[in-house]
Order: sequence, then C-alpha cells, then structure tokens
Amino acid sequence: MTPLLAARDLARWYGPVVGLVDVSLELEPGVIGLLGPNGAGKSTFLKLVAGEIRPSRGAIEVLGRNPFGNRAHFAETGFCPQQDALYNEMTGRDFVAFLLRLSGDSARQARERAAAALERVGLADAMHRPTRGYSRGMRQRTKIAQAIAHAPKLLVADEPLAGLDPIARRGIVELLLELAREGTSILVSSHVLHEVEELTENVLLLHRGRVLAQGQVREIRALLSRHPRKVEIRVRDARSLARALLDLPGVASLRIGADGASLGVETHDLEGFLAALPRTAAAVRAGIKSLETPDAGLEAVFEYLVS
Amino acid sequence: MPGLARSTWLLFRTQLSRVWWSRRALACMALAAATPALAWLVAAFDETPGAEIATHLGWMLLLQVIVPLVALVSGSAVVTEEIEDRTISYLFSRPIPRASVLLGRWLAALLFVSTLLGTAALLTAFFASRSAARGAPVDAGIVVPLLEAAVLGGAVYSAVFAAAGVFFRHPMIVGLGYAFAIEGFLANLPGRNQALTVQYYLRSIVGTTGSESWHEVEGFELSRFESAGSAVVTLAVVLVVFLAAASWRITRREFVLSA
Amino acid sequence: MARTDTQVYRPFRGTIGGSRFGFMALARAGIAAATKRKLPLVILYGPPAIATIIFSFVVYARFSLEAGVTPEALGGRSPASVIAAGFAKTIIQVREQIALFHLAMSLFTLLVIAWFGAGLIADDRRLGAHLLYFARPLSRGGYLAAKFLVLFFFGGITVVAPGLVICIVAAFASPDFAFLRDEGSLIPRSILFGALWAGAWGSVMLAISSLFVRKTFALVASFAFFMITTVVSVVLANLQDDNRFLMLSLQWNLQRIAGWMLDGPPMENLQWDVRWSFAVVSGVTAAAWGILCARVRRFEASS
Repeated sequence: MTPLLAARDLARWYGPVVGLVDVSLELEPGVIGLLGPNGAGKSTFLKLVAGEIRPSRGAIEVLGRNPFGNRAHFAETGFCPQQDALYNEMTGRDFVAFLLRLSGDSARQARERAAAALERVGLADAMHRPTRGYSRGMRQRTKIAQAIAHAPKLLVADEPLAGLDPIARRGIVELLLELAREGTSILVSSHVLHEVEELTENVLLLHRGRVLAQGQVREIRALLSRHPRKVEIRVRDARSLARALLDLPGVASLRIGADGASLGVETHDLEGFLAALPRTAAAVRAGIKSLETPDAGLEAVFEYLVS
Repeated sequence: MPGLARSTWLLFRTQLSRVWWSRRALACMALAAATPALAWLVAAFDETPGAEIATHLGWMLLLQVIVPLVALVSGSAVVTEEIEDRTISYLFSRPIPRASVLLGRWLAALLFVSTLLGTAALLTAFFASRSAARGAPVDAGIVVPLLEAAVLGGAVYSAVFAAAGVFFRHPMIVGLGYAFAIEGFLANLPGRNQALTVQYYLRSIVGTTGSESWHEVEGFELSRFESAGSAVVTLAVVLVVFLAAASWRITRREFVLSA
Repeated sequence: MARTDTQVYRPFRGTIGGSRFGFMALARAGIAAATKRKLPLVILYGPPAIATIIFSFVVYARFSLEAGVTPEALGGRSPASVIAAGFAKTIIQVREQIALFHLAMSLFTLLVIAWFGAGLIADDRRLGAHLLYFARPLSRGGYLAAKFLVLFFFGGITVVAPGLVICIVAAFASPDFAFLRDEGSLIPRSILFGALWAGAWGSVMLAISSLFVRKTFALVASFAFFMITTVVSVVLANLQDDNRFLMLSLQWNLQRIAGWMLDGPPMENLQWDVRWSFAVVSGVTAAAWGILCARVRRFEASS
C-alpha cells in the first residue's frame, strides 16, 4: 500500500536559515498531528507536503507523487494555509466556487459544492456576504471550506485553530474528526499540544527543523522510560508520607512543598508506585487529599524530548 | 483538470470583475484623467491650436509619463498583488498550469489598461479639438496614431512589468527605475541606443503614421524613426518574449509567503 | 470589593510623563533603521559623494593654477592686478559652479527623500506600529516631527554636505582665505537653501507616505507627483508660450529660489519674481502638512 507521505533526507533552508533538516519518515493514512514550538519547521514541512515549495535536498512523495507543481497532486489535496488571507471583495460562496472551478468543476457544480462545503463549516448564513466582513473564526472556516470542498484525499491544515475562540475551535475540531471518520487523511499542525491531543493520538514532533519523535503519544511516552514520571500528591502530613515512600522500589526523588502539605515524587515505575501508595499512606495516616500525574500528557512528552 | 486556455479564461474573468474596483484602479483612473483634463483646460484658453494641444500633451504627458505609470501600477500587480495579499497559495494549490495565473490576470490588466489609456487618448484629442484658436485641426493623423501608441504602449509596458513581478521581489521599484531612468535616458540619447527603448518604437509609430503636427513636438525633430510596421512587430515580439519568459519562470519559481 | 465597569473607553484624566523631546528617540531609531540597509545607502549616496570629491578637486586645481601664474607668463602686465583679477574671476566661477552643483545634486536629494520617506508612515500603518507609538507618551505632533526629522536628516546631508565640503575646499585653496572673505555668506546661504529644499520635499513625501499603506505605492506616487507636475508645467509653458506656468512645479520653484539664494548663473526660463516661488513652496508645504495632520488624526480608525 502506498504510504500517505514518504520523505527521504528531506531538508529545506531559506538562505542561511534552516527550516527543516534530515527528515526521513513514512506516514500512513489517518490524522497526523504535527507538533512543535514556533520555528520548529512545521509550516515548512506542510508547505513541502502541499507542493508550495521544493526541498533544498532530499525528496518527498505524497500519495506516491512529487508534490511541487504537480497538478495530479493538487487535485487530490486540500491546503488550508496559515495566513489569514481571502479575496476580501468576494462573498464566501463566490470565493470557494471560484477555486472549485479552478479544480475543474462546472459553474453549477462549483456553486453547489461551495455551498455544501460552507454549510458544513457552519457558514450557511454568511456565505452570501463579502468575506471582508467575516470574523477571524469565519475566515478560518472559509479557508477550511475551500480546502475540503473538492473532497480531497488529503487535507493539509496549517494551524487551523490559531486565534479561534473556544467555541469556534470546538466546531473545527469536530469537523476535522468528522472528515477523518469519512476517510480523509489529515495533516494538521499546531504548537498548542492539547489541541492536537483532541484530534489524534498520532503525532509527529518537530524541533529546530528535525523530527524528535513520531508515532502514538503513548508509544512515544513508553520509549522515554529512562525519564522518571512525576506524581503530585496533596496530603495532610507530607513528611511522614515522604519517609514511608522512600522505601518503595523505583522512587527516584522526593520533594516536600514549603507548606508541608504537598509532595512531589519522581518514579521509574509509575504503576507499581500507584499500586503501593494507598497502603503506604494508610500505614502512616498521611491523609491523601488529591493525586495527579501531570506528565502523562503530550505536553510532558514534548518537554522531555526538547530538554 | 482544466488546461491552460480554460484556467487562463477563468482567471481572466474573475480578475476582470475585481480589477475595476480596487484602489489601484482608482489611482490608474486618476492618472489617466490627467491628460484629458489638461487638454480641456488648455483648450478653454482658446490660444493654442487643437493639433498642438493634442500632440504636445499626447506625447509629452500621455505617452511618456502616463502610459508607463498606468502600466506600471497595473502590470506590476499581476502576480505581485497575489503575493502581497498572500492569496497566491490558493491558486498554486489548484490543478492548473501556473502560467495561467500570469496570463489570465495579465489579460485582465491589459483590457483595463487599454480601455483606460484608449479612452484617455480619445478624450485628449476630443477636448483639444474644441480649441477655437486658428491652426491645424485635430484630424485622424493625430487621433489614430495617439490611440494606437497609447494602447500598444500600455500592452507592452504592462507585459514587461508583469514579467518584472515574476522575476523580482519589488517590481514597482524595478519598473520605476526602468521606465524613468533607463527608458527616459536612452530614449533621448542620440544614435541607435534609442532602439533599446519602448518609447522609441511608440515615437516611430506616431512619427511615421501621424500628421505633420507631431514633428513640432520636442524630441521628434532629432529622432530617427523605424517604419511603423517594423515598430509594431518589434513591440509585439518584446511583449511575447517577456510573457513567455515570465510564464517559464512562474512555473518553476517558489513563492515563499510569511504567515 | 469587586465591581464592574462597562464603560470601555474613558477619557484620560491623568498626566502623561516623559520628555517634551521624547520624539527624538523615535527620530534616532528611524535614522538607525534606515542606515541598516547598506545597498540603498551606497547607491543613493555614492554618486553625490563621487561628484563632491571630483568637484572639490576641480575647485582646488582652479585656485592652484591661479596661484601658479608667474610674472613671465603675464607678458609685461602688472602682475598684482592680473593675479587679483584672476582670483576674483575664479571665485565668481566657483560660486556659480557651487550653485549649479546644488541644482544637480537636488535630483539626488529627491531620490534620497523618496526612498527613505516612502515607507516612513506607510510602513507604520501597514504594520500597525503607530498604535504602539501612540500607546506611549508621544503626541501625534511628536510622531510627525520624528518622521520629518528622519527625512530632513537624509535630505539635508545630501544637499548641504557636498556644498559645504566644496566651500571649505575653496576657502582653504584660495589665498588668505579670499573665498571666505568674498563669498563667505555662501555657506549659510547653502545651509538655508538645503534646509528649505529638504523641508519642502520632505513634507510632500511624508504627506504622500501617509496616503498609502505600502511603501512601493508611495514611491510610485511620489514619482508621479514629481513627473506630472514637472511635465505639465513644461507643456503648459510651451503651449501658452509663458514661462510662468513653470511655477506649477515645486521643482522649478525651488530652482528659482536656488538661483536667487545662491547667486548662481542666470537661467532664462526662470525669471519670474522670486516671491511667487516662495509663496508656491510655502503653499505646497502647508498643504502637505494639512494632509499629514488630517491623516494622522484618523490613524486609529484606519489601522
């Protein structure tokens, strides 16, 4: 089966500035979250995937094709760019219909599919208004509508949730999940980790132009077993509990809060620790009030990887 | 997937409806209105013959200044406007030949520039003809060459500046330098250097097909002339070469936009 | 105790701190930013610098040749009177050439002012930088003064510096500082004329810059203003056979003033009463500042 995307020694630089370097990977169809801080190379990677720019070195194939200037690739790909730009004097429907006509639709078909796409992103009421009067969220949804209107096999979305309010963000997340359920592969970037967590478990982590990790978040986390896991405990008597916990296997460090009522633990065996904790706490009458494992999420994985 | 002709037509049609209502268009209209307005004003004094008004204003202001300026403002926008507005991503992620973006949008600019400059030429001649001063009248030997040169000049300059938009990051600055420093300098140098400028061929069209009144305009008396046919062919070749080169370049060039 | 305040915009009733000359910081920053790009500096200042060096050398050589005249070469005429007459003639020639040099350099000043001025306000509008400036204790007048100073600096040095250098060379090359004694007033007059030139064109350029959000458009508009006013005035002067039509162009008026202030060689086309030229230059400058004030007042709404 042809992978969704295959890159070999991929590198791209802008004059002296390195955008992406030594990227070799294969991605299977599905929803893939592209993660990294600002300047990590996410947009560069997506532009290479969308066929907007060429690699400086190496090669990239998307759905089996070299994307740059490849019309067959553009027919099967939808690109939602990062920049907040639309044809401001056109209505939302005219804008999407115009781009559909460039994709080969007839005038009638383009109008119908544009209306359907805009309805789908929740712009049914606003589609006949010029886009210059659209709010940020509406503009973002229009950008997504033009990218999905021609029913692409792959949707490339560069920071589609940036600058949106929580309600608009939820709407777009649900739309992307719905597209994924329908079989559209989605490559979506963000530097906000929890946004991507809502969309997919399958991530690609970039940092300073290099791939830090690729795969399921949990798998990546498991690969990082050399890093101890953190447990934050609110407790009535932190000192006595700390003394008792020192005897547990796998505990790497203990930190008592200044208020004497909080305890930070680092352990190499989280499951064993969590199993033993209630018994140990009961034995010393420590009185546990709350317990958290703050680094189970993507954010912690990312912190570990870049540190 | 749409071919070159169909996508060029689609882009031309869409751009044509957009081009008339932009601020750029208003600026071009204001520039184009300058010559007829001045012709009307001078004719109202009734001291200068109509032919003199039409030829002096037609050459010195319309053809030497307004035509390059209007073509610069419209032509340099052909590709650059999409880059500056950061909307070129939408066009270049569609299954169309990239050259159609240049050609479709240039055709719309051409129609706009030709209409504007043609109207300006006709109105200039019309207002000049209303002068009651005695002297040569404004006849076909003044109007037709003026109209031809304005439209042809607009077409060639707009193609040159559209190509500049593909090759350079700041086509307006390059275009300003070219139109007023290089052309302005070379076109007025004695000898064959003049043949390197668009102005020379426009002057040839006007000088060889126009009436005698044109030869009283400053700069015509010392000028060499190409035959009108040869001038038109040369300008057509320049236009095609620039568009072809720009089409080739736009197909290969990356347009890196910032967010 | 918690409270709500639904009035979003309230009139400011406090006092704003800061120096009255706080705008100087913005002017300095503007000059520093403009000098960061070396290529335009080399292109724009290269030709005037080369011309200044060549011209200084010519002036120096002229005085040196006069000083080198020997009594034998005078063929029996009174050496003192001939040498004195030669120097006097040279001084007048040098003065006239300095005036002509000023006029030749004025076109470069125009290029300099157009290049550095086109983006001064337009770029601020495009990037929304003026909102950041106005969030600080900087008045709109201070903002305009800062922008104007940047242009005045770049335009001023292009017009004034070459003239001053040549005057200094002439002063040192002439015997007993004769140039300074006879034509010393040329130095303050050169400075005054440079200030007038840079001030007038700087005001026009800033006004044009305030009308656009892109530097390139402002640049094209400034060229259009210069070309159209110059060409129209020439065409009208030709058609109506009346050189007073040249007064329609700021350029010709400044040249007329230059001829008067610097006592240059007479130019037959520019022979109208110089007071008219001062009136036109003042009028254009006032109109430019009117546009500037109106535009800057609307800045918040237009950002």
